[in-house]
Amino acid sequence: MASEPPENDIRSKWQNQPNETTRMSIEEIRQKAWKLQRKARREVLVLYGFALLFVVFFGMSFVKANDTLSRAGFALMVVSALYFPYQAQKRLWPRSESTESASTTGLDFYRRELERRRDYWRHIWGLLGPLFFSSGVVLLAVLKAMKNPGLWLNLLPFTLLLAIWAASFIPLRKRELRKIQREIDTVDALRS
Amino acid sequence: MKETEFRLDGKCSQDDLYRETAATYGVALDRLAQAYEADPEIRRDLLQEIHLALWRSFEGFDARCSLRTWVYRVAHNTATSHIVRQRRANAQNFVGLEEVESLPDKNGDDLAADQANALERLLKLFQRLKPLDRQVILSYLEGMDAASIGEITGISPGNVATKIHRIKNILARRFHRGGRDG
Repeated sequence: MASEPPENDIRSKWQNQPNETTRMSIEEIRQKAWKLQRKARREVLVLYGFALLFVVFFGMSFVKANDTLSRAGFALMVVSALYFPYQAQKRLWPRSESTESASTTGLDFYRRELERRRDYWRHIWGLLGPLFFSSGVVLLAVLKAMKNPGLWLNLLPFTLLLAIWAASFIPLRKRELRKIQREIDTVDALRS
Repeated sequence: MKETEFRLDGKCSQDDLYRETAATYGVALDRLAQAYEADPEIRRDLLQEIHLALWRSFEGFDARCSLRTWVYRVAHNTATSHIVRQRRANAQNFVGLEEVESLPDKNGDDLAADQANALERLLKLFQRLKPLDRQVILSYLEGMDAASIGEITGISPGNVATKIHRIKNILARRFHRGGRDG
């Protein structure tokens, strides 16, 4: 052992370590695949279930509303409530990626994961935007309907919190985007 | 590591390929999962995920690369997905081999006494590494040459050679002094 180069010593230690062996029979694998598919579908269906509740609630509010602004706000809320599970479905619905994963090198696969993260941060306003916008319209309609203008002040703490969140979120998003881009550049440099 | 260059002759079914893989690479896959996940419970799930991904992948195995390359690509890519997801949840940052190489080894003085824990420390090192560096060091420890590592990871031969050089430095500095003494 004493004359062995260091890398061979640690290599043999690594390869001969005692391990906890996991074996799965073909039947277990089929079961697992089926369960995973069912789980993903269930998660998406639950999201659509919640969305349906929102659609019913805001739909009824839309019918009852008298002014155009409120109606527009509730209609937008209905669209937002459906948009969110649709986005989730795109991410969660079972896909067959395994064959693709085998023909993709580690570098390409990791780059794609980084791109996915970058796109998420890049388009985060696109995901949150409809919800914020429709909530804003509904809020505006509620404020307009208020008889006592002094009640506007009650919304001040909420507005302040929202402003603080937005002020800290914008640089955070930029930093995250820069970090991911740096990592993508590093990965690209490994190709040549 | 045994160099298995199993190639499909067009007659093997998805199940046959999976059985062959589990028999030949099962133990190496256990080690791979260890390098990606410290928590034993989550590791078991990750390992099952890898086995499932492999079985699914064999539906489209076209023998354009060796079975070994195919198996390691699927396994590493599944595990990479896992750690990218985990990183999102834990906001954990990974480091590259270059940074590890330049960091002083806090355990350096205790290496002789600590040699028994070399594997434990090696695992801790893996779990801090960036995904691609983890793939290179793992493949290296499994006994693969630079060409095979390049085929699995997609990293150019020159960059693989640089990374292997760094890995050797790190291993010699951090894991060998105790071995030489003992």
